[in-house]
Amino acid sequence: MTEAVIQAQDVSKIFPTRKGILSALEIFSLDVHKGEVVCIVGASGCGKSTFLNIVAGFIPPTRGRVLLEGKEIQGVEPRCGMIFQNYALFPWMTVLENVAFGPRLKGVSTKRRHEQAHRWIAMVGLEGFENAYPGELSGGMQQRVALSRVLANEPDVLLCDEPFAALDAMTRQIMQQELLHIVHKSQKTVLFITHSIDEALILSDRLVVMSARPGRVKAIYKNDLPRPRILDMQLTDRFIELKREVWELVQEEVIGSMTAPRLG
Amino acid sequence: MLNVASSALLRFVAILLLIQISACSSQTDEQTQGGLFRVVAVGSQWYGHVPVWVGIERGIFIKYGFQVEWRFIGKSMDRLNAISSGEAQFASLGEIAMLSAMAHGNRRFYWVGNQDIAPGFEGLVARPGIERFDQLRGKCIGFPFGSSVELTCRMLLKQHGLNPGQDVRLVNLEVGDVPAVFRAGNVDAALIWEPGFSQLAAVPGATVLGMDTDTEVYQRFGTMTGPDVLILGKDWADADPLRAQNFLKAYFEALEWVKHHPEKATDVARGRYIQQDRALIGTNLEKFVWYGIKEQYRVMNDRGIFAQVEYILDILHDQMHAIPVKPKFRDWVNLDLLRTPDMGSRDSTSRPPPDG
Amino acid sequence: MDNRELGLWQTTVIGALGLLVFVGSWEALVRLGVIDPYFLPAPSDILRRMLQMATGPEAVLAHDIKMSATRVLTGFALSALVGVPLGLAMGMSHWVRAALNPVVSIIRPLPALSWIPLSMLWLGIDEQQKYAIVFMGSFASVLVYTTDATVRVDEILIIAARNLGASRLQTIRHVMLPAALPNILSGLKVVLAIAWTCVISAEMVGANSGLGFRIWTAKEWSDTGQVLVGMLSISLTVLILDILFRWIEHILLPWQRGATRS
Repeated sequence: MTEAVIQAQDVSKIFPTRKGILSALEIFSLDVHKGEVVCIVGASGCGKSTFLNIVAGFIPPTRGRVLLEGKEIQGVEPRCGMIFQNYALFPWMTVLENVAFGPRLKGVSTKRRHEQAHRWIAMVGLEGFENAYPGELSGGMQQRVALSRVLANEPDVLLCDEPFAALDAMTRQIMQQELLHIVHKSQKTVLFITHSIDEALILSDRLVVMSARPGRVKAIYKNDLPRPRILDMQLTDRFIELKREVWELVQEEVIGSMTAPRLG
Repeated sequence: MLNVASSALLRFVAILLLIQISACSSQTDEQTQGGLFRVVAVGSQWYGHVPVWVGIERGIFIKYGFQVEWRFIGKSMDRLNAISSGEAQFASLGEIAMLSAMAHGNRRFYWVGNQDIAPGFEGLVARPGIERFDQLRGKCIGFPFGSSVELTCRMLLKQHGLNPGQDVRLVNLEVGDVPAVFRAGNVDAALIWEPGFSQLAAVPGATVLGMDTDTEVYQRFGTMTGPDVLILGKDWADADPLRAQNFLKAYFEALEWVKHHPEKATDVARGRYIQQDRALIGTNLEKFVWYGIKEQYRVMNDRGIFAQVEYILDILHDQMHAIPVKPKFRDWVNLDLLRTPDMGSRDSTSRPPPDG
Repeated sequence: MDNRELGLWQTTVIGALGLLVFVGSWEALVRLGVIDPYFLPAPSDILRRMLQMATGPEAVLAHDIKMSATRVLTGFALSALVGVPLGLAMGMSHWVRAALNPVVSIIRPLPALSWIPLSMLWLGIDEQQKYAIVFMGSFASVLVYTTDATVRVDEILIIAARNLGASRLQTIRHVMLPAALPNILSGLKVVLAIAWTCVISAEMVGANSGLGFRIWTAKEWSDTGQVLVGMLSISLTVLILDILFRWIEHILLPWQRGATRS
């Protein structure tokens, strides 16, 4: 087993609300290894986004800690690059300026950062759109820009918060393949959140099923589906078997959460 | 046959007409509960309004069947507009505002008199350090534009060889602001009439460079630059001329009382109508020459104030280009309203019997 | 059918027709004697008066517009210079917002006219006093629009920038400012019109030129035609400035051109 890039140790998160205390995460532990793609699936509101925000350093855990390469994450962590569901591109910047934004903050010269940006833009297949504004691009193209913007910033870990949820089914499948392609080429570690079991099975090396709120690790699957995972794979017996297994676990939680009191 | 558009237009016109009619009827039929006619008189703190105040305070108007309501409106043109709109019926105001309104075709009022002559109440006062007219060159002079002091100022400057358009800077001030602006030193010289004038003159070191009595107008006609004129709403007067005659009779009775009781008139004016030292009001009122109802026939003709008006119109039109035409002002004069109503033929609807 | 948006030429034609009907019936009502021209002169008379004031021997109109524009634009520029940075601070910091909000709420409803006595006391009757009137009449609005524009910046953009390694200062400079800019500009466009409404108050005292002054003196001389020329000139000047402002917006916000097109 390779070294763990991310180590979440007994992470809990409590939000005070007007109606009382909301416990989002409870004693959540998970190791993510270098070059691994880990998908977290769970019902909506199970705390998976909360976990991702803690890893990115946007919010601190109430208890427990998250280590990035052995050091505790304190404050916003640019080494964990985030891909958002609604792209979060800067609408006043061109594609090129968006992608070159990270290097620009670090003080990389205009010439060099534009060279780098061109490379990443080419990688996601957007040559010729360098001077377009995000508003002029389709959703799939915008997410590619967001992906290259994060990659241009050379993070160790990619945090993906349901990045393809807003795309249509066809675009989503193409983007999934491209993500896999890029990740394997760049050897990035990926922590990917989704509520689509299909998506998790296609992308992941390991698959974490979360319990309903407060979020805990319910089960971890090692995804042994062969790579490359082309579309035909979704029709194999093994895929269907895994999907059913995971679905039953998730279903239990969804039904459980519908009967349980909402606030702890 | 009417189409939709023209019938809508007709309806619009009808509504406008209706508003006009209702406005007319509301002002002619306004009678208070006690059977008195309600008259709104408008004016400022100027001494020329003393007869109205006396008429109200001593019950002279009530005796003649009028409930007179006094409203403060500081500027002559605003008073004239209040009368033109039908909101007020009677006012005394400056001749220049009246002539200007005539020049622009306002036919909603009658000129019925010139109740007083009181020169020496407005003048040009300069800040300490300025003692002669030639020292005004390049300086800033403030006063309310479009009033009698504008004429006084222009005439005085001209008489002393200064071109009002080039040699000095003239700025417009609100009537009430003039003393404070002058005292604060924001202008080098200022003009205003009483009661503001004595405040200007009272500033330590200030020099009175000239009065309206120093102008050509006074020297030629013996009047102030913009004499007080009496104005009556045309619609109101035409609706019931007898009532208008009665009203003016009441007004001039009050004026006669002022003429003969200047001391008591001072007491009426002070406090409620003018916030000024009693002694100052007294001495100022002594300088007033009041024209009674009989004297109006002598004043309101070509040998009287009309000649002065012709002269002023020349200045306003030919020199200042302030008015587009010289109006035929005699068309606005209505001296019939000054005739004492024949007591025998008085109409009970136009003049309710005096109570008591 | 009714919901379909109108094309540019359709809007222009319908707008022109509306204007024509309005001006035409106004002219007709005056000509027919329904409206006394002393109370409201006919459009043709106003136009004649305007030409006379623009060209004739008096030719004061151009100078009046220049004087008023100088006063309004100076006061407005001061408002923007102080209001925008302060508004940004209020938008970004709950502390600053909580501290300044009560003061802004007190100042905001005050009409420009109400500042005349104090402005005269403090600044006299020179040009500074006129700038101050416009400033006081428009400053609070700049503050409110800027604060609002800043608060409305999408939180996710700030998170994204921080995630890409932006410091707090870099986030303000590279994200907050450009993200708030479109709404700040459209706020300023509204305030520019508000600033013009102050010109009447600014030129009430101690003026001898300007459109506001022209209206005030015209009133003293009972010259309703000139009053309307002054009013019309204010409208036209604001209209032209609005077109200029749109052009500036167009230059400053190139990325919004595509957005409005699609």
